[in-house]
Amino acid sequence: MRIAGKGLIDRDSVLNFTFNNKLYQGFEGDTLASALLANDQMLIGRSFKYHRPRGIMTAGSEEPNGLVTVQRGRTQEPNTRATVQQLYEGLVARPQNAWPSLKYDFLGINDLLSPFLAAGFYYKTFMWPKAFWERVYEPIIRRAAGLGELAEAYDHDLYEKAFAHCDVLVIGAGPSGLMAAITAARAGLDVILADESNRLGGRLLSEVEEVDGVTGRIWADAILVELARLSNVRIMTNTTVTGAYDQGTYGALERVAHHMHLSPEGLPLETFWRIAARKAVLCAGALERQIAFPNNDRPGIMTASAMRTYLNRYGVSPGQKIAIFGNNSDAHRTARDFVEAGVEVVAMIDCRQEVLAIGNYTVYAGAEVVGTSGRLGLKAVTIRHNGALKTIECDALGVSGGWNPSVHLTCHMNGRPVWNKDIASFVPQDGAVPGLSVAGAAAGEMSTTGALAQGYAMAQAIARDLGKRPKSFDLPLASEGPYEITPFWDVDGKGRAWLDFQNDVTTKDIKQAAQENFRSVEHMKRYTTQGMATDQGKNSNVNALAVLADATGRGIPETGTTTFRPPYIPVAMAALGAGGHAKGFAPERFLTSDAATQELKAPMIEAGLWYRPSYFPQLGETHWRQSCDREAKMVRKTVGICDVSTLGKIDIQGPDAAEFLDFLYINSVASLKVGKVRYGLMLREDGHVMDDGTCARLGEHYYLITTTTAAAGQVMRHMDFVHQALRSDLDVSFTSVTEHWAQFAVAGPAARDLLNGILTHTITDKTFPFMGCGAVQVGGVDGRLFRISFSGEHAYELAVPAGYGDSLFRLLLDQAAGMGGGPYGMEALNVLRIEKGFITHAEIDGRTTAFDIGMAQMISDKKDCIGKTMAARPGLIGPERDQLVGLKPVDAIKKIIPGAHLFETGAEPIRQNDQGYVTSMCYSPTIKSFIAQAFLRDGRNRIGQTIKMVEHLSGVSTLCEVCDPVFFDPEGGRLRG
Amino acid sequence: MVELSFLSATGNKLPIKIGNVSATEVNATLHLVAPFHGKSTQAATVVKREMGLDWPGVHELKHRGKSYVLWFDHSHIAVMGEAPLAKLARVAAVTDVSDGWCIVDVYGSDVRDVLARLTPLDIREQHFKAGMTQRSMIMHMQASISCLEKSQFRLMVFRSMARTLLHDLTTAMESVAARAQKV
Amino acid sequence: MRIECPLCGSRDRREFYYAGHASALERPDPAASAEIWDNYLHIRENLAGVTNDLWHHETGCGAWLVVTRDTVSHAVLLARLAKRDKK
Ligand SMILES: [Zn+2]
Repeated sequence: MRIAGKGLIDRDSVLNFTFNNKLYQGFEGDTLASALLANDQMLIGRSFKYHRPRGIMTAGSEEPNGLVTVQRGRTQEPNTRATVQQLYEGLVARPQNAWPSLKYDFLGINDLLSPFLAAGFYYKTFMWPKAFWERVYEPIIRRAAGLGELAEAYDHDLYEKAFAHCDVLVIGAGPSGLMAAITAARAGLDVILADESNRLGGRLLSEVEEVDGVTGRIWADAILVELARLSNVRIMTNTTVTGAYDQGTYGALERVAHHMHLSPEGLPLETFWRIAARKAVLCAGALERQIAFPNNDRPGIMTASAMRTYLNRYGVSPGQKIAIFGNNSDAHRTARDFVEAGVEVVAMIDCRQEVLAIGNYTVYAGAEVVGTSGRLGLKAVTIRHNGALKTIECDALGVSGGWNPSVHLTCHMNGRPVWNKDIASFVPQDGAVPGLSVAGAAAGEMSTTGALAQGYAMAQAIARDLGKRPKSFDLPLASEGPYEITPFWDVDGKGRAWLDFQNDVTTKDIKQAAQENFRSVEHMKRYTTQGMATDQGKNSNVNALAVLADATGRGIPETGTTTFRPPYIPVAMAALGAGGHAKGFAPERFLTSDAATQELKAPMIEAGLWYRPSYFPQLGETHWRQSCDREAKMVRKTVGICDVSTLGKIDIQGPDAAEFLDFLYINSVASLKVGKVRYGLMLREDGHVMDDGTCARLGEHYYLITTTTAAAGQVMRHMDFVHQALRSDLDVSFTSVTEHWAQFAVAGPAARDLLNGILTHTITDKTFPFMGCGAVQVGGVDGRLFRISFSGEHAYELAVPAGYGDSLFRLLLDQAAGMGGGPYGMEALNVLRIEKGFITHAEIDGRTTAFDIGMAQMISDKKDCIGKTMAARPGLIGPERDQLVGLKPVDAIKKIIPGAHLFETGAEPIRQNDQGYVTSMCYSPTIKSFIAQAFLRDGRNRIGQTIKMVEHLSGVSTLCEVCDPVFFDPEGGRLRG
Repeated sequence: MVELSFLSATGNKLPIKIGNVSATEVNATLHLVAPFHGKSTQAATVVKREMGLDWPGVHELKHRGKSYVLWFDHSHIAVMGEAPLAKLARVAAVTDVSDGWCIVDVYGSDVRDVLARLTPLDIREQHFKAGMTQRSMIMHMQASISCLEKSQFRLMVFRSMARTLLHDLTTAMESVAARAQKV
Repeated sequence: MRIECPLCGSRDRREFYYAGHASALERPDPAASAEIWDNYLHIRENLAGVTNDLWHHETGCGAWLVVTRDTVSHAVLLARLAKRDKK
């Protein structure tokens, strides 16, 4: 119910919303949780395992129970914590884990079966028979498992990633955070202040105590006004810092549009920030923990501090008759505030013996709650007081087992929190995260005055560390009593007492784990699933290990604690992967001929990041092979055009360019004449082939080399390494010019005629002999011409600056069309090169050597080069190696499959008899047969033999003749024609 | 007589304006220059005498009119626009990469917010000032990013990735513009 | 993770390419023994503590760096140009 005169909500701004198909009203400033409580809707959902009725337990992101599914436009978001979901007009939310309805839930039967569903149930039950796993157990578990349900539809929401940098990141904007931020800001540091809430102030918004003579929230607002005015401060609300990473990197999730029914086009739902901070202060406060007493999970039972938050921040009382159960002084503030707000407080049950009330309410000192009643909502509690049981009617119970500092981020780099007996909780280990200091309740400083002082001190120290000279100023004082606590964890009694509400773990489960010898805290966690739900045991882990400590007869410090890992709150995969979705996954690289290629309706194939045409279909062609065969024949007969710009091109200059290249290539480059091109092979230092390509000498100290498309980046990095790390004495520099030049292969008997139709100056076999290169002009543009061939035909590659690529490609196609030629794609290119025995990365796949591909003789004995020593080592040369050969089917079955393995004709096709494998295959319209390239054990000595190709996946077995890898024009006469 | 026509890297898809941030394409000659061993002083003298500009140190960008010199990588500087290429070529490796890069100027008061969504660089005003140039990434792409004015940046990525640059840039611009509208 | 590039300053890890231990800088003589070459190419310490790695500032300045870091604490202690490592 709403309490008049309380709360920071705007009562003039009414918001309509729907929960469980019922219409409700709340106010601007409400969360979904506060609005539901204001409407006396205590039952929110069902628990995960036992399907117990559950209500709101906290007022923050640690909420274990109040998980709902929010329907927002086209998307539904499961597991939304009602306690952080800001209310907006038109919000639609549904309960989870309940079928057919919230009130009558079918799997509630699990609750009755609970004696059988205790810890270890799954491990013990679903073990055997083995055959049952897939058919019986898994479907059952799958149906019952999981929190919430996915929409199983495309997610239309936008998620975004972004980067931020600052001197100081302040995590949390409660008293210590605000103080740290303003102190750092006044010292002139660049500050980011991030807070989970939509409003700064932290606990100050939930309390009535004063800071600096005014109500806490008014003091917070004044600080906020000053912060907002400063240009060196960036305030990030609705932003949870989720992880601490190396070198001052922090992850932070900003909920950008969760509080909007309709958001502007282009606005992301969430932004995942990577914040690089020189220093950070963790001011994340503390989370109140429960006490485990029988049936402590009924709707209406919540933390005592959450009750205060609902009252003081949202003007809501979760009940008409309030009871409080606690073991510390803080719990009394709840009793006091409700009394002052005019709500009936029926009992303050304090397990400590000596207690003084701080208001007008009844205190049961030395008492404990031993049971509760009310199936769908709390109706009464039974307490044990002075040895007698007493039942007290109430509809809401606030529980306080004390406060756990929010140490989570300090654990993200392996820091282990340490036990502090004064506050009966864990506090951060000093220096757990380099550059991160901790202030306020997160550091175990439970008083507001102390928190303010720590925030100030940490920020002053950081400012000095970063070379500032901060001025000191007077610290504000806060009005509040001291925090006193007597550790108290669980109540002995009849009935289950819950620890982990989200995963339904009870004290009995922990005791059973201890009994079954899962005594280590890590083992207990995994055996019971304690703390493994989406709330990661934020308000239950400490209780659980206290119970474990007790059950194993050890103290809490000796028992130790499990650690916390990122993220602090659940983060959607979409947010973590933001920017990597759809077109953001990887850059797309397009050729300058792309537009013209698309106009010709060529299907595209991805080659690395590039998009290249597979083939150019003509009218009447219904299968890619028809187009491919035609294109391959066209190149052999007239002329074909192919965009080869994707090949890496590296411009190399300097007096030592030749020596540098000689060190990279196995063959000699220094002996190459200006105006000539040579094939070159590079090895890795371990003796295997890295890449092949051409090397053109453009001038005395000027070379241009090409790499394969696939290895362009790798070769560039390799060259950088060899130069900088091994041979920086060489006066050479190089840079990629892949993107500057659009380069087209003009291949076929009519290639020269075609070129002479467009080049400004006619070329002849004399001016451009085979493997010649030089400058040319085309259409008034300076270009380069290389007489090189990857097809075995008389061929050239013509390059112009990329700005003219589109224009030149269209011109070449026009010219070719007039000569019976045309464009060809990757399929035909592959056929042409296999016919000629030319290799690609299907052959030089990182496992093959120069010897294997028949190029060992290219390794110059006049110089050292990368990979030379190892290329000669035993095991990389000799008859035991698989060597490059050609294959041709010789029997009725013609199928050759790349990846298939080779066997002696009579041998059983098993691994032990393996003789090699197929790398590339095509149908050759020239040879009129399927042909292939393969690596065969001692292959060069087996030309003419018959070998059996077996492909186990499709069960194909083909007898093949071992051939020379060059099927077509082995003398190379056509190249020189 | 055949003729070839020039097409810009983005295919004339710019300018665009979203929110208060605009993007325009720049077409300029661009050469990378790496002095030969022992020739740095001579190269600097050529640049100083012919262009009136000091040799750019790491992260420096200098310009006079439409001629720019900027640090480019561990071994190169870049010259943009009119430059004494022939004289430089005597003391340095000079490579024409004019058509290899897609060059886009982005400007407007929210331009740094747009960049924060594209690059891991520290783009705060006091850390990335006018006259600075850095190499980093724009989303997954290698990039050169220069600050020409407080609210004007020059972005360069490989030409073939122009479409991806436009996609990434517009997505970020739309997001920033939408934040300004959000209530 | 961030690395302080001697040229570019503090940069996000995503700009760098990792290439293993810095012993790759000590290329043996071509005529050195098989054991020396084997050690150079294939044998690496996997130590818990301070190590020197090679990183390429690939999407930054293009420099190869020798980065001294602690594999236990993840501290990056020093980054210097591989070029300067040459005697
Ligand atoms: Zn760098």
